[in-house]
Amino acid sequence: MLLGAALVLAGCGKSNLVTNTATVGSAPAPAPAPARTATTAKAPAPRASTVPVPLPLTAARAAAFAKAVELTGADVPGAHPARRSKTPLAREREAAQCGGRSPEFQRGGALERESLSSGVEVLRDEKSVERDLAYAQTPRGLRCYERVLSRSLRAEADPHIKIFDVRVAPLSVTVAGAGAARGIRILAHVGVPGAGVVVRLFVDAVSLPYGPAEINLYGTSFVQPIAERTEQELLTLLRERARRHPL
Amino acid sequence: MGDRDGDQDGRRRRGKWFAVRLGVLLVILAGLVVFLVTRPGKQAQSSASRCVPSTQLPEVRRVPPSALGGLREAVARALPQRVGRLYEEGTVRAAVAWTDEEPAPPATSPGALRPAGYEMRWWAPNGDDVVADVLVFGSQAQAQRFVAVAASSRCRLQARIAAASRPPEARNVSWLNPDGAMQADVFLARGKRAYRIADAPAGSSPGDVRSSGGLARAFATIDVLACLLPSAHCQQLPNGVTT
Repeated sequence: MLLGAALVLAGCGKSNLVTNTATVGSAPAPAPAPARTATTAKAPAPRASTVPVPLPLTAARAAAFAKAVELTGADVPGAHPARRSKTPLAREREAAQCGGRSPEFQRGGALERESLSSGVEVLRDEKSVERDLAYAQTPRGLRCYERVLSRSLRAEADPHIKIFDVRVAPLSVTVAGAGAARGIRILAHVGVPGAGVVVRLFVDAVSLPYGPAEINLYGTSFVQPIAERTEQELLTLLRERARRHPL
Repeated sequence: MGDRDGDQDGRRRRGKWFAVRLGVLLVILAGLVVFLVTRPGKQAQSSASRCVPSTQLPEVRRVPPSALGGLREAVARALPQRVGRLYEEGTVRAAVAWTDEEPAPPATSPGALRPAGYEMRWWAPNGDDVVADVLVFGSQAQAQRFVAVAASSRCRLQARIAAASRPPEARNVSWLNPDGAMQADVFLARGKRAYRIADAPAGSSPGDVRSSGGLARAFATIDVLACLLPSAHCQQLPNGVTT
């Protein structure tokens, strides 16, 4: 379910979907309050990239780059790769053509369960990345996420649980030496009908621009969000790996 | 002439005002320097850095990344089910018992060996800063040696030592940590592992923490939390606490 949600997020952030969403959501909704006020308000804009791209980008090179950068089990102590959930073939194919995704690493049990994964998407150029990330934080982009996610989470959820009150807010995570990763935080409430128990579910999806590539980090956690420090450290780690591997 | 006198007076007044402002700024600057040099945190930090790199202090083993999962699981038990808000975690070395340095982030190379020490930090619901560590040494004797050195007043400011109320053979230390805050620690050795749980109570000053009973509450808290650690072997627990 969570991997599916993450893939949906990636789809909603695509700049080529702007036209699709424009026809559906003509009235932009006001953006929800930022999940992390301080970092959202003060996070510096991503620095102008100086990532060298000496050769034409190909799918094979993009995939190799993604493989070198992605999260591994060693980066998330105590986690194990989760079984992949069913995802639309077209989306899988799209991901495979322009980058790659790590497995979803899960750890903890019950309320402590959390998962982390990464993805790398290589676009045409840096401007495409800028457009893609900028769209994700517009009111229209946020509304798109909220709508698509609500549908997706409800459709994929276990029939014995109920997911409601899905909200999306912009999120910014500062990354040492790289400005800020930008993205969204989804907050949903998960309940078991009849049990009277409702817990909060947090899904973070943030992207760090790296030349013509987007380095994405996805985190899912119950009750409380993934620690900001953990997200900062993992994004820093992924960026360092990107610097060590030519695009 | 009159205008020139006026200008000169103005310049003198401005000069005097400038001198006064400069004087005030210098006094503030001097005060800041004195504060930075004399604040307890600085003293504690320099004290720790002088003492900790002792040859008598054993260091943790180095292990492959796959071994960290078990260590994380061990310390995660100290504050289970999201009771506190986890804000930081990672690998640590033995000196963390004095330096309180932040845990290290994951290594860039997935295959690199890591220190066999893991720490998690939480904000407790009452605002306390709670930390749990596990440190794995080469032998049981080393783990015991570490606890003996760590649970002493050595290299610690305002340290007080006592036997912990629980778990068996655990020891309590209160001290002024490198950030200048009062902190309560419990140390115990189990096999090749040493554990620490620490609680820095919320409070405006070390004196406030002591006088408000914050330190006593912190000891009561960490001694119970230590019973949740693997092989703690606590005989009795307060109502509502199960291992």
